[in-house]
Amino acid sequence: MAQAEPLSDTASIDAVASSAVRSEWSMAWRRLRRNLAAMAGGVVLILFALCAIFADLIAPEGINTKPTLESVLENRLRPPWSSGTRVGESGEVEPAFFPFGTDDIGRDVFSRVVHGSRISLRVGFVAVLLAGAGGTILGMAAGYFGGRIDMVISRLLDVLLAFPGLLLAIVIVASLGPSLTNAMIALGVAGVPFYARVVRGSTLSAKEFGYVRAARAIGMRDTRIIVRHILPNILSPILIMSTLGLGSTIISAAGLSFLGLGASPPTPEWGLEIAQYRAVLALAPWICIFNGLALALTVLSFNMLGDGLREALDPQASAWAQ
Amino acid sequence: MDRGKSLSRRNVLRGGALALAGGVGVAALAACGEGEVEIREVEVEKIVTVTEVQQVEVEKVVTQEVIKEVEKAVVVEKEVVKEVEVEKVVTKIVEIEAETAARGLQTGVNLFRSDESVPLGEWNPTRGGRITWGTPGPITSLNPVRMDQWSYRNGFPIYENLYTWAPGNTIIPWLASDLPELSDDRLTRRIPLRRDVKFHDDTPFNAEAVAFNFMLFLDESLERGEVAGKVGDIESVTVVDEFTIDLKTKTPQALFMQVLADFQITFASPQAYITYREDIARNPVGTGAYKFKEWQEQVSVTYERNDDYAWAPAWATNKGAPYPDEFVVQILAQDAVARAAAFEAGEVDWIQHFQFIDLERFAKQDNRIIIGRLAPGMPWFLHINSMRWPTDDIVVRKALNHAINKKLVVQRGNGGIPRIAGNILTPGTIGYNADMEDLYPWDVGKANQLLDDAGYARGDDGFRYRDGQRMQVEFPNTPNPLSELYKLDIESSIGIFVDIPNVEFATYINDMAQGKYTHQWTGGGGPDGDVLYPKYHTSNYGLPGRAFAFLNYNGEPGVPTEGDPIDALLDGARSEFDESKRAEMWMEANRLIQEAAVNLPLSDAMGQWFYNRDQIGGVALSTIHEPATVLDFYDKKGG
Repeated sequence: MAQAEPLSDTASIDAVASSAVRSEWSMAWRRLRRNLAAMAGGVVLILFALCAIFADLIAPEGINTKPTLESVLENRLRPPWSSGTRVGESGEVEPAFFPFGTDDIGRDVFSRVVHGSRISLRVGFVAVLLAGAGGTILGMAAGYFGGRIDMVISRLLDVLLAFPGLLLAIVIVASLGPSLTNAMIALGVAGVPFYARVVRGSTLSAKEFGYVRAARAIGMRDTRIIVRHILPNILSPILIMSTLGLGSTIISAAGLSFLGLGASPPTPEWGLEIAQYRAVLALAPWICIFNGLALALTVLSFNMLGDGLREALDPQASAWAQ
Repeated sequence: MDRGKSLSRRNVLRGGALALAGGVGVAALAACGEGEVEIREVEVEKIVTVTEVQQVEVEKVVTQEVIKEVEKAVVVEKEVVKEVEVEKVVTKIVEIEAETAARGLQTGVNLFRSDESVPLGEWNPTRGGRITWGTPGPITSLNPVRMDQWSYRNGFPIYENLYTWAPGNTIIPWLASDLPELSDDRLTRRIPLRRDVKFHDDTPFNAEAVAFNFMLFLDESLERGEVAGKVGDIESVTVVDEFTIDLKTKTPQALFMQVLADFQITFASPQAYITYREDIARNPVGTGAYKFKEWQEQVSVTYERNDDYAWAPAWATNKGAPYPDEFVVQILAQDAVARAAAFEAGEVDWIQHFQFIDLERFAKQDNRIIIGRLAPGMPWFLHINSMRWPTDDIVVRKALNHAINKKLVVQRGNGGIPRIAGNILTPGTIGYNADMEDLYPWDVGKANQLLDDAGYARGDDGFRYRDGQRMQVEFPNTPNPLSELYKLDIESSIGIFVDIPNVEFATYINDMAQGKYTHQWTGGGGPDGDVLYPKYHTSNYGLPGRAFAFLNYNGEPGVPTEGDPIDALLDGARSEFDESKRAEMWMEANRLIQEAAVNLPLSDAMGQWFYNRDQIGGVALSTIHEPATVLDFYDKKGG
């Protein structure tokens, strides 16, 4: 019995902590639902996500559809909302409608924008996941253990923070070699210090909470304290940062592609499409406009949702900020 | 025999002193008369000091030499006729096919041969103002020893050649006063120079200056640019008299006039070399119609009119100083969008461009004239590396040739205006082998059959594999308007993956030299089969920006592969003075290259030049090897 006491204490501390977290999340969700801008952002993002998932079904043309000489000559640079013909999968000529117009080799811009959503969202999520995971691990280690570990990690973060994020990403891509995968890695690495700094601060604060101190006092292992008690309490800032970061990461990835450091043709990445077709901005503005709109709308939606999440998860800080 | 001084720095300087002293001696003779007068003069000099006695003795020797050379020049008269016959380089020109011309007109492109003068409007020159061109290439140096491809094309207003290409693809004198005399052994060319030319620093352009420049061009200890590849056959350059040089080649060179007319061998003031040394790159002093004024790094280079200019080549309408006060090269390198935007905004008067989409747009505007220039030589083609898997297999190379839909692939680059090419030389080029035209017609079925028979099986993803390795060809995304269509075409037609990685320029050049890609987009204009030399002579493999591994490459950059049959043919043609035999050698080289399927010809080369007729007037002449002359341009902006 004497040995069972600490265990039952540990379980009760866990239960108290998780029920507090659960109620906080449900309150946040209620607050978020009342925020129209955030909900609008969320809806748009869901639409883009559906586009990304079902791109092959939604887009009339495939991602690597080869134009024929006839289709190039027939369909090139058709304005939005125009009709034409295309060779279908069966090899037969069929009528085609181009809601976003066509590019200089007769490809449907709508199809490319839809396929582009898959690429841009994937780049954004992977890079943010990398940055979030890396930043959280480093930040929690620095904040929780303190001392030399904190000093080493914090100085490393200071060095990384001395460089502007996009510049750091450009340096990393340049050293790894330009490609979409390396752009994701570069943006992920470049984002690590921002997450780590916030997580470290939140950890420093969270580790002083009563239940954390209690857990330490009863001899709970550090990893358990970090995972069960600190992480759930610092998830809000991570989530807010990630949502806002997704928008900026997608923009940065498009920027890297625009500079020739990301995707290469014929990948319909939005940034690359804008880079390629800015040459014809005067002649066929719709290609850049629709790719730019998709990019802007996605980023705007992430920002609106991120703002809403911040207000929902940390209403006091938001009210203070206002 | 020539008793001139051998070529070294000391001897050139000594030669200059001797020539100067000789000149004084000759002048003294002319003033005083002959025979006895000369003896008396020597005796008088002897009285003064021992040193001066020696000086006079030297002078006498030089005087004798000059007389000897004059005698020899008379004897060689017959050779002049032979030389002109031999060196009259081109008679065949690529005529523009009616179909091609029609396609051009349909798009609004005025098609001309590469050697034609094109008036931009009525000839109504006005003095003053400035003309500006938006260059597609960077300027790295304006030192003739160090200049690279685009530095020449941007530095041409200040530097000039001994000879120049002219309309009709002929070669005429420029800084030389006449065509050279060729010695019996065909090794030495005696080149007479113009006597009225001076550098921008007022020093004379004479034989010493030419020899000085050649001394630097031949100095292997210097870091040299493209000129190094042009002077490799030169044995020596000797000063004969103040305005005559002897240029001796190591072996008989039938095409050497072309080398002298190409834009790499240009001359800077020796005084400027001495004054500025390495800094001459930023303080160029030449003989051109424009003088250097200002260089804004990565922005522009400004030249100003050389008021003393009076030695324009025969084809120039304006033989004197140029009309504009200034000529500005606006550096818009590697950014086609910026170049087109600057042209559209009127910031530059003319550009050289490579995007069909802009061509199409500007062709619709009345104040622009779009000139497409069709040149003989090599077409726009895709080099194939025969030393890298999988294109080391001739079956794969043939399959690629059969599979590609050329009409589709070239759409973005030139809209399909020029003729679709089926050979590594275009019709009209001397040495063109008509039997090789379209050796690999478009036949996707045959391409797949070849690959199937060779055991390149398709995997579940649609791509072909061999021993578990996916078949892949690759070239860097430079970017090139053809890349994307090539990828889409080849991947869907024969299941070979096309990788187009993004790489920065320095990496691209380095990797290309090491043969790290299977493909290279390239081309090259020229009047005859010698255009194959920089791409297919093994001595050029592995050099930056050159062709890479092909057939018998021994792996040593810059060193020919012993026994290579194409080397033998290309070298043989260069030393063959009989034009028909030379053409046969090129035709044979053409056959070997095509049968090896080491290239993928796409379409005839078409240079695209856009001029704003509201802003610039005159006559545009882009000779076969470029650059376009600016001698006949004038400002119409009212400057």
